[in-house]
Amino acid sequence: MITVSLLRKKLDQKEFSSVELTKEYLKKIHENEHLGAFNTICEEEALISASKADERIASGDALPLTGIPMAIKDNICTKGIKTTCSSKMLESYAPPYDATVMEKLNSQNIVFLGKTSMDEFAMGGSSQTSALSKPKNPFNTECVPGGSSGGSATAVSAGLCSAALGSDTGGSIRQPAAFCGITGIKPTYGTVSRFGLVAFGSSLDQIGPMANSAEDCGIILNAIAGQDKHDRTTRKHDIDFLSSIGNSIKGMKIGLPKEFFGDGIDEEVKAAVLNVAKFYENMGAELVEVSMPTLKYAVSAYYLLACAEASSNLSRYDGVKYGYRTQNPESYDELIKKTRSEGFGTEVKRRILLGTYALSSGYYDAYYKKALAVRQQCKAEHDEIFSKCDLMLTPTAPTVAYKAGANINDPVKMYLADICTVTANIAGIPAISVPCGCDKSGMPIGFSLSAKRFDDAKLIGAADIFEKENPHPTANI
Amino acid sequence: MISKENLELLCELSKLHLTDEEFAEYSKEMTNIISLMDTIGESDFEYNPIDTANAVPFSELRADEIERFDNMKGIVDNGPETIANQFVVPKIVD
Amino acid sequence: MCKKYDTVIGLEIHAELSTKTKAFCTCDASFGGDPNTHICPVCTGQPGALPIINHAAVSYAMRAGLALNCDINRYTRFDRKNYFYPDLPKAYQISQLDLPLCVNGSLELSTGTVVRIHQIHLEEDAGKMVHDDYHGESWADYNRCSVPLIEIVTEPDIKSSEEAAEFVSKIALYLKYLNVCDAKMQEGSIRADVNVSLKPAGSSVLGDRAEIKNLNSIRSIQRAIESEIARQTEILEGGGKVVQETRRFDDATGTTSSLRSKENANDYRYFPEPDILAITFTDEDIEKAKSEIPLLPHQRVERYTKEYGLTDEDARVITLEKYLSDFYDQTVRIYPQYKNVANLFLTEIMRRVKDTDSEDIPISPKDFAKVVEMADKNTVNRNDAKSIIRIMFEEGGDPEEIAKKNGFIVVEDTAAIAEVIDKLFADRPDLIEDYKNGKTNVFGFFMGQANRALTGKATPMSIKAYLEKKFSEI
Repeated sequence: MITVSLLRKKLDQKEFSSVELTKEYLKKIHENEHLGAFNTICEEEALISASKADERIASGDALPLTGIPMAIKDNICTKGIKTTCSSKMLESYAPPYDATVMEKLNSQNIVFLGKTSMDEFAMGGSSQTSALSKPKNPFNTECVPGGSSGGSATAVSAGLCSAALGSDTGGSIRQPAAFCGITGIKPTYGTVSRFGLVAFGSSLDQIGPMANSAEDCGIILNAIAGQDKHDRTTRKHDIDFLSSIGNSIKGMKIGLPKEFFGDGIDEEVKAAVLNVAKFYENMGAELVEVSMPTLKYAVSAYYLLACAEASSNLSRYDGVKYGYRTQNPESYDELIKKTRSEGFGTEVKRRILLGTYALSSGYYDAYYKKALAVRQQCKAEHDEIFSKCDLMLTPTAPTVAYKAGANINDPVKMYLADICTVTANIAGIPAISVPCGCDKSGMPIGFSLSAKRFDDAKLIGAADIFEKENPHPTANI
Repeated sequence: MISKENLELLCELSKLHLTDEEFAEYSKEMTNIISLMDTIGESDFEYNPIDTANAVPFSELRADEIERFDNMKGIVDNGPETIANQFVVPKIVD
Repeated sequence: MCKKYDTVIGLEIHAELSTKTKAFCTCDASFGGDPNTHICPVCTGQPGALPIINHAAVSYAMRAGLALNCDINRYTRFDRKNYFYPDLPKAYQISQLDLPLCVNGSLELSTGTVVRIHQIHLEEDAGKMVHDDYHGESWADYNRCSVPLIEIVTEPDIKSSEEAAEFVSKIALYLKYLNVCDAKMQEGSIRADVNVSLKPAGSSVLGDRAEIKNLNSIRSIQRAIESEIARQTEILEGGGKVVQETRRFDDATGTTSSLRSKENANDYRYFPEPDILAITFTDEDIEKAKSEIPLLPHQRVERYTKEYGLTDEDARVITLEKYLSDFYDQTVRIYPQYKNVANLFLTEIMRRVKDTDSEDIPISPKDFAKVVEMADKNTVNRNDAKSIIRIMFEEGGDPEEIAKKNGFIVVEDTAAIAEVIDKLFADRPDLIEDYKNGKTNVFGFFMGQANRALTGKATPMSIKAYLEKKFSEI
């Protein structure tokens, strides 16, 4: 397993240069173009940053990510470099500015390899709603890598980059991490700036790392987190995301919410996650049963909130300022209707319609406002749970990765598959997905740990303990 | 079941044009999706609009100091159709 | 004649706040600039950009609310108002619906009507569209996008077009005095939407109302209301029913017409703005805002009459425009002869600036104070003081320099006085005889002659004193 922390050592010891490393990754990217991980590959830029990074390493002031080749999800704005959200709507859009996370990574001199594919506007759990590249699962290329950050998961899992950034609105980092056998964390809402993250559900979206280890996730979070004057929803905090690494788990209470282990969860997945519980128990943690009654409303509440916000966030795509524009419209009304109808894919339109419905006159109270009430209740339940335990353990997804093409035409089935991940977004708490073996067909299974807000370091520490004893599965590519 | 009129209104509000075929398909799907959403109707929680834990004190708001954006050209350059540094649309009539 | 219908009017006044930066980004909020040169990712709705609220915008809105007797919501929140229009890059306007900044205010009119203010909320302006008829195109410039606005929403308490006009003028004047808005209607910094309905005289049941949107002068507000009253009266007289709808006013024809029904059917789908956290206020915040409220026009009138001894009429005239009242205040701060300053100010300054659009007075309060002081001390005579002001307006310059250059400075040359008057006495012994015989009016002749001969060398006062002495010696 080539982790960021390992690469750091080798770069600093001059075992190889960042340029050499970058060339190696670029070669691998080209060899694996069939995996469809990237929408844009930034070969030239990568080599330029790599040689700059080498100078910095030579001068002795390398930071933890200096010279480390990374991939970025294609909904994070990169100045002058296409940021498409895997949509026809933004196929040619080159943002005039960098996202805050990009500025922070660039200030460490990372090597930015390219933009990874995703579900269109992050709407989906398979990356198959992409209008551009459709990424494949490195463990079985007939299977989906999960989504929406599927391209990032594919790239990390197949070793096409050392780590990547994803974004998570309802599980979009954690579920593809689980499907592709890697680690991914959705930090506490408000720890990482969303400035420059193309919005889907603004009150739920967070950027987070996807990597080969929990420790790598912590290294990256240390680089990108922090209060940002461009995002007022970020909070002042001075979390050291690596601070719990090496801490014992003895005496910690791990809650198992019974609702997450019921029907609808694949038996093999259930068994694997319960094995993880046993592992932690053997390491000295105490297992406690907890309950989250609002889980039965979680998927509805999540889709109502996320789509309501999305319907508003995606209204700006009208063919006037940037992106796709229909040919020869007769009127302004025709310009926007045709642009939007031609530029958005099926799933995006579904969600815009649902969100518009939830907010429209006569339905607002029954749907949107009700979802806000469920959200408040869900937060209260989490407060209650975390007053009884330090961490909560659940499956990351009800199943392992499925075949491409399945589910895509059954939106309800697709939405229900998000059941294990959406509550962390609704409550704004941090959650990490870590691989815990494979099922009989050889597809990876992931478990999730979550904690109370701003306890992100605790998750990373606990995940690290598991990873030290249970190496990630590797794809044969 | 979502009515034809309701879906037409949603399309108008969200400025989406659907072909007849798409309309029929979305009609069916939206009906299924909305019945999934309807489960939320069984909950009886009250929403409290005041959430002081998620508020910011007045004194902490941004100071009124001009900071010019350094890449205005980059903004206008993205315009699919521009003239005289402005974005062009078919003539607006009220 | 007995009135058949009562008019019921409610107003929504939009006023642009004169903050340095925009409401939700750090772009320059000043008026003008080449198209799209006051823009950034936030105000042009670039994907991924987020709004950051301006402290001054909230502070100004709060000051306006407090001056208009509003309560401040200690927890205020923003909402998105969703609609498509090319001057609105995000396709939603950040505004406030359920928890606006200010509520329950009021303003009294000269008619005695108290207009209740339902709420004052903060929102952002849209961009500017230019229409090219020849090519059938409209062009969007986003410089004004996200400039902060307050919307002042009244209850339907206004009873006539005159009251509406007075309300808007008074609000505009207040906002100027509060230093929160330039209140320049020609730059669109104040606009109003007007709700008009009629009800049978004396009835308490409100009629169906029409909303006339986007009126941008006091005159068009008044005309639009009058034309709308006439239209609705005609409908009701004919047994018809007024349609609840949005209308627009055409300045050229002086009539209102219906906007497309699509506009009327809009569903704005308001919901809480997730990108902006709600704002909380402490008692100290509110006390501080109260202490920052400057004197309003009626309070200045009171000070001018009670403390400065000006007439009520003079005090009112000076306070009609903030920049004039400010100029007067600055002058008396330097030279506290309140009435003398007021007299020259009313005649010489006000008459020169009152018909100009500009609010620049080309002379400084310091120089003006100097002129009043020179006149008061007889360093120049009153007519020459007026000439100095004229010259300063026309050519600029320092008042003392001007007085010297033009020979306005009065000197007391006692030798010259004696010489001139002694000679006059010697030249006209006949008149001295007349005086001795009781013709005392010859005094006037000598006074006139001496004044003419001594221009610029002596004041009439000293000439008179010397003459009186001479005559008493006869």
